[in-house]
Parts: sequence; structure tokens; C-alpha cells
Amino acid sequence: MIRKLWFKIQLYRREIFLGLFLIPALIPMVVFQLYPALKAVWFSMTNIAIMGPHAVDWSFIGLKNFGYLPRDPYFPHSAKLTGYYCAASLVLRFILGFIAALFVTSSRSKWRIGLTLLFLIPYIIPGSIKPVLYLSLMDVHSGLYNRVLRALHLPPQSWTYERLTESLISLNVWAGYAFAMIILISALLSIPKEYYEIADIYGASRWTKFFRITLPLIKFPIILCLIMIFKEDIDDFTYAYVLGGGGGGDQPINFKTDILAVYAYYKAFQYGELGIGCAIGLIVGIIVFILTLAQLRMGGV
Amino acid sequence: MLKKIGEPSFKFIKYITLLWFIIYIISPLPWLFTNAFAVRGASYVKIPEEITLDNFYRIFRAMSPRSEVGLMHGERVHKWIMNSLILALVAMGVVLLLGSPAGYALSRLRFRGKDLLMTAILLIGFMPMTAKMLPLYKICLDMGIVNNLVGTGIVIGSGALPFQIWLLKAFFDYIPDELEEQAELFGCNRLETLFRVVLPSSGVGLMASAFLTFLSGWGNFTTSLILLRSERVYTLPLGIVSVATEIYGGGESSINIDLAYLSALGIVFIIPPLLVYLLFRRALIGIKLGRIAMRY
Amino acid sequence: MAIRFENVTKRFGNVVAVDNVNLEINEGEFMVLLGPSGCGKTTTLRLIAGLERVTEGKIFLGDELLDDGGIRYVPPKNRNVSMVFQSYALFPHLNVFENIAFPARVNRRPRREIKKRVHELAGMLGIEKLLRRKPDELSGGEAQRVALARALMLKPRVLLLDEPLANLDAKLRVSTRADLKRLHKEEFKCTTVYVTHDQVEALSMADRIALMREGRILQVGTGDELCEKPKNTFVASFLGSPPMNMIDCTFDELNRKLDLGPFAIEVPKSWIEPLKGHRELIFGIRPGSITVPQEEGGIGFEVYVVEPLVEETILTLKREDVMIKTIVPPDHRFRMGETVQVGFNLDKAHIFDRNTGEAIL
Repeated sequence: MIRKLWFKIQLYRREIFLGLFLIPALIPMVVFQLYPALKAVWFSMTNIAIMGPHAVDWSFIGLKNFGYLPRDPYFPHSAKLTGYYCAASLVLRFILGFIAALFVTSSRSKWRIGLTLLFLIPYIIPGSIKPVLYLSLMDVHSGLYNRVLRALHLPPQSWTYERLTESLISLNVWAGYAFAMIILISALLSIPKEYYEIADIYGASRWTKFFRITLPLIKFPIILCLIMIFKEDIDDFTYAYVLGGGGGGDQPINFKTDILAVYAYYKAFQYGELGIGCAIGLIVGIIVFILTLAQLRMGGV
Repeated sequence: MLKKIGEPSFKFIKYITLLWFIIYIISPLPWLFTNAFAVRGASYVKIPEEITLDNFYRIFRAMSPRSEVGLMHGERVHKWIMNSLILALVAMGVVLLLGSPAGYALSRLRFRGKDLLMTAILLIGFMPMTAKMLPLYKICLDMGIVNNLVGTGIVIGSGALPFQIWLLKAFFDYIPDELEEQAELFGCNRLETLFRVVLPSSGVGLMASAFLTFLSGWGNFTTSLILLRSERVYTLPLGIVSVATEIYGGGESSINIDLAYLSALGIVFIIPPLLVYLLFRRALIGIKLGRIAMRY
Repeated sequence: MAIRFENVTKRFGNVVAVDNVNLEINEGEFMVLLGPSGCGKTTTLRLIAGLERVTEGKIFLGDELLDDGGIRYVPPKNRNVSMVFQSYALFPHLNVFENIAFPARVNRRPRREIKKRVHELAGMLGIEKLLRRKPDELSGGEAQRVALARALMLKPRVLLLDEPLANLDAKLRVSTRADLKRLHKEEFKCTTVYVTHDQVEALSMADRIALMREGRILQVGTGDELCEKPKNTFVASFLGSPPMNMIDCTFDELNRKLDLGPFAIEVPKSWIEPLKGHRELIFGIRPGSITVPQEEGGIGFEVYVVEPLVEETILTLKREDVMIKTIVPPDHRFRMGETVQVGFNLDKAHIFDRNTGEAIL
């Protein structure tokens, strides 16, 4: 009996050895990534808090938090803002990314790499610098934008106040169009050029080629791209947080920039209501999860 | 070629659009650079008349952005840099020490649930920060990891692990089994095979992975914001943002801005990753992976 | 020291790669495992190397039992066999010298000995000038020699080669074939097992050939034996280019004739006994055993296709629904559509049973 077991172990020695390689990596992933996500479900159904009585003495309250949210003074606004932000970002990031991708793929090979790197610059700069940079650009008196506008005799705008939301979107688009560009470049390059050559033989025009050949063939990558952009945007935190003034102040909320993720953060750390914050986070989480399933179904990664 | 070259009018439109595009992309950047070297209080669009390293001096000499009153951020800057470095290195270590064996194992193992496992790992990587961040805080609070740099580094590393494992697996997939079989035939035991054959061949991939993780640790904002709440453990991104919001936080009216200081900070932020990249590049060029014995 | 396979079977899940194989390879012999893709020849090679374990059966190296499908298993590094893969598997991070030296370094041989042996091998294979290069700077032929040198570093008992010529272009293949054979006879002197699907390689290099199909060995023997005394239709048609002509026929015992459809052949006396009782047969004759033009008593065929090659001309001849190929010297000229008289050399003919494929004559 034992001999048989010993033999089995010998036979699978290699597999056991490799398995041991795998386990240590799984531990931190489960503990710090998977577990918090699962806990979010639990916490969102409690009244746990960061400070105050509920920090120690909290209890399960079911779906009360979710029922509360629509009545919360700022949640509906934050949700609407997020919708506006995501929609605008999605469209603009995608279109700009597409244009950039078209620029790259229609250039000669030797320019392509340089051009791609150039287009990638806003994406590659560290994420925390970008909103800071934008803050300095947007400053009403000394920022670049208004100075250029004044030089052109156009009215300076209140980027940091009136048009803060648009600024946020603009930042996100500037920083993130390259993401779409990369996906689209590889999608465009995967179309065999023979298709276009045949179309040329039949005298097809530029637009015909684009709408009849290019677009249909990259339908899937486009959908994947849109899903992934949306997933990123709905989860955005850094830009909104920084542009909104970064956690200070006595304002209950920055109306122009507090998208869901930031609002959840405030709910937890400013108001101390961890449970409600988790509930908001869970809503976002579920949306992203569903989108991810759809994305995986489409065979993309 | 996607579009027919020719038709001069189209080409013209195309190049004009390209030009505007490029201007759009890089316009913010010179702003950063020119101002970093400018005199305090000024902000330049063109190359400034007076170039000075005064700002960097002030940063490292622990002076604050406001001349008199104001939070003493200045003295913290080198600490911020140290902290960011610790974070980035710990995250990199986590990925290299834990992620590469995992990537290797996933590349070489064959079992029925493998695809499922790979997908599960990917799903873990896709979990949105919004959902994770608050429970993560509570969990770390209970574990006593809050305000702990090494702990936060591990958390960041674990966040990078899913994608890095996929990346590393792909790298290891590229190394054919036959190399290891040859080594086995020549008398290597498993450890020898790993260190003599597998590791050297995968050097490029490992370095790429290490660099990417270092970058993500160096520039990490959200996780550090959640887990590093005390100013003494602030990292560079957190520090820069705190300075920036202090300067610009006044909404409409902000006179007396020390843009120069801020820009200098920005430069300080970007330099180390660039240095690391250059270092890696020299090493990368040294190792030519080439065609691994596939002669066709 | 010989290699012996005793009833060896190897299964991968439900797939039987090697099916009850019995094989004996002699010491110092150049044995070729020949067969179409997927016939199990590479798996057999890997079983000898120890990279796979047998499912059933035993493998012996000399007197030593290497693998018995159970407890007993000698891992590859203790077998002192060397293998060259089709892709050569050169270590990309080492230069040529280090690649060749690798086996010795792993076994902690003294530096001086390593250096001497590497230079010795490099000289033998003509690659001294390449010692400082990296694998990605080598051509196909050079890489192959490096792989060979590396395999010979520790003077293995057995050398295993898995389609080493497959990645070379046609001309290089021809010259390397000859080089390999000479090297084996004069320098290596170790038992060599060579896997290929190319019958020309097999015939030109092998001492003996084992023809495999679907995991089984169909016939083992010298090239001559396989060509002249094939045991079944598969063996007969695998060797030879153009392959042996196979014509369905029936045996007319009464009239002592072989009815091939459009014509009949008179059966020599010696054939009658063995053919008794059989009816449905296949008449096999190699292109080289067909005489064109036959002076007298020939059978009329139409010249259907003429393929003029360098060393010979291949004629495809047709008579009603029977098509055969024959080769003629290059200076003999034939035109398409012409009728020629064809003769069959019955001494070199073969008869196979149509149902089993087994050879009768």
C-alpha cells in the first residue's frame, strides 16, 4: 500500500516540485486582492465605521445601505456625474485613440515606432504627476491655458472651478487615449493587407475600404476596447481626487469632480461610514465584474 | 498601408492633423521642464531668461514652498523619495521572488484546471480598486500593516502579481522544453537546470517584469493613499499631491504660487525611473535572446 | 553493449504511441528508425533517452535494466546517452565553446580536460572558427555541428538523433548525410539511433533500418533486405523513389496466369505452389525492374507522362486503367502518346495478398 503511494509520489515528483513554486504567489494575491473584494460584499451589508461607536460595535444590517443610497444627499449626483464622465471619456478616448492608431498604421514602418512612442507619452508619465501638471496648467492667473487664451484675446476660463468637470474629462482623455490606440493598432495590423490590395484592384475609394473592410474586421477588438476603457474610467480615482482638491477642506463634496470612487473614499474616511463606502464600491465592482465576464466571453484578455 | 498615399490634398490634411495632434500631446511637458529651472514665483512658457537650480536646492535643503509660513513639506522630500524607493523595491521583490516561480510553474505544468486557474488569476487582477480599497484598509488595519512601508509594498506587489504572472508565463513559454531536456540529459538535476539554463534564458523577461513592477510601485497613488495615512511615511506621489493641493487648493484665487517648486518636484519624480530604465537597457542589450536554436 | 526493447508499449492517455515493440540494436551500429509522421519513432527515441517512461515492457542497455514500467527507472542523466533534437536546442545565453563544454561543466570536469576535448571535437566537425560565436549567429549547418559536438562531449554510449537534417536545405542535407556517416564509422564509434521520415537518408546512412508505422515495427533489416524482401505492401511502397508499382490482380490457377486486367502475365513454375489458394493479389514491381523498350514479347503501353530528370527519365505508362512508372536512362527519348513495348522482370517482382498486404513472394 505504502509502496504504491511512494511510487505515485515518485511518478509525480516533477509536478509536486512545480506546484510548490506556484503556491507562494497565490497567497498574497488571495489575501490582499481577492479577500478584500469578498469582504466588500460583507462590509457593504453592515454599518461598520472607521471611528465612533460603530468602529467597534458594528452589526449586519442587510441591504439597508443600498436602500439608503438613493436618499443620500450626494450619491445620486455622484452617480450622474460618473455617468457623464464615463460616457464622455469613452467616446473621446476611443476616437482619439482610433485616430492615433490610424496615423501609426498608415505610416511607413520606420516612422511607426517613433510615432507610437510619441503618442504614448501621456500614457507613460506616472499617473500622479498628470493631475498635478494639469492643476498648474489650469490655474486662472498663471496657468498656461489661460495665458494662451489671453494672448489670443479670448476670454480666460475658470478651469479650476466652473469648468472643472470638463477639465477632468480632458485630463483623462489626454492621459488615456493611448490605451485605446495600442489595442487598435494591433487590431488594425492584424488585417492582411491583401484585402486592401484586392479592393484597390477593383478601384475602391478610401472611405469604402474603411467602412467595408477595416471596420467589420475589427468589430471584436473595438468592442473589447470599449469595454476595457469603460472599466478603467468607472474605477478612476486619482485624477478626480487630485483635481478635486485632494481630501482637504470642509466641503461635503466637490460637485464637479467627485465621481463614485472618490465619493466612496470620502464616505469612509471623511464621514467614517465604511459600510456605505463599501456599498458604493460594491456597486462599481459588480458593474466591472459583469463587464469583465462579457470581455472574457468575447475571447479577449 | 492602410490608406493610399498620394492624393496631395488628403496628405496635407493628414499631416496638419498629425501636427495638431502632436502639439496636443506634448504641450504640457515643456511647461513642466521650463518651470522647474525657473526663479521662484515666476512661471514661464518659453525658456526662461534666468535658469537656476534654486528649486532643486530648496527641495533638498528642506525648505517649504511658501517662503515663511506653511507646512514644512520641504524637509520631507528626501524622505518621500526614500519611501517611494522602498515601496517600489519591495513590490519588485515580491513579483520577482514569488511571481517568476509561479510563472515558470504555470508555463511547464499541464493539468486539467490550468486554464481555469489562469483565468481566475486574471480575474483577481481585474478587480476594481473602488471595491477593494476600503475593505483593504480595514483588513490592513486589523493586521497592523497601516502606515507600514514594507507591508504596503507587499500589497502593491500582490496587485501587480496577476498581470506579471501572465507576462512571465508567456516569457517562459517562449523557452522550449527541449533546452531543459538537454540539460537533464547532460546530468543536471532540477535546480541546476533552473539556474544554469532557465534563468539565464529568461533574463530579459524577468528584467522587463521587474522594471514594470518598479514603475508601478514608484508611481503608485491610490493604494499608498489608503494605507499610508501618516505624513511621515508619505511617498513621493502623495507628497507631491499634498504640496500641489496646498498651492492650488484655494480654488479660484491663488496668487503666490510656487510653480517652480512644484515643477522641480515633478522632475525629481520622473528621474529615478528613467535612470533605472537606462540601467536596464544596458543590461538588456547585453543579453541577446535571439532565435533560440530554431533554425527555420 | 546493445539496446533491447522487450514488449515495450507507451501510452499517452488513450493514444498508443508505441505498440508492443521488440527491438534489438547492436553495439556500434547505426540504426535508423524510419516511418511517416506520428508512427512513434520519436517516442521510441525518447524512451531510450529516458525522457519518457514506458507504460509496459522493459528497456535494456547492455545488461542494465533501464525501465520496466514500474519501480525500476534509470533517469536520463545516469544513462550516459546523448540526444540531438531537431531544433538543436543550443543554449542561447552561451557561446559555442560553452555550449559544447556544458555537459562536462555540469559534471565538474577539470578545466584543462574540457578545453582539450572541446577543441578536439571542434576540429573533428570543422567548427573551430565558430567557438566564440553565439547560437543566433550560426547558420543551420553550423548549429547542427555544434549540437553534435555537444552531444559527443562526454563520449556517450549511445547517440540519439531526432531528424537532425530536417532543418537544412536540400543541398546541405546531401553533403551532411555523407559527413555524418563517415564520422560515425571513423570517429564516433558509438551506437547511434537515428530517426527520420526520409527514406533516402535511411538507406544511405543506416546499417539497419526499423520501419515503423502507427507505433509498430513492420520490419527490421538492412536497406537491401527491406528493399528486396519487403514483408508487406507498406514497406514495399515506402522505400524507393519512384515507389514500387502496385497493380491489383487475380490468380488464375487453371491457366497459370496472373490476370492484371488489361493484360495477363504467365506465371513461372516456381510461383504456382506458394500462390495456390490465393486469389486476390497485388502485383508489385519496382520501376527499375521494368524494361522499356522490350525487344520481344512485350506488352503494349501508351506513354502517358514523360518527366525528364537529370540522372534519369521517369515514364508513366498507361494501358486502359493500369498505370505504372518506370525509369529509363536520360538519353532515351520518348514522346507522349507513343506506344512502347514493356517487359517485366519477374525475378524482381513481388506478390502480396490484397487483403492482408503480406508478401507471398
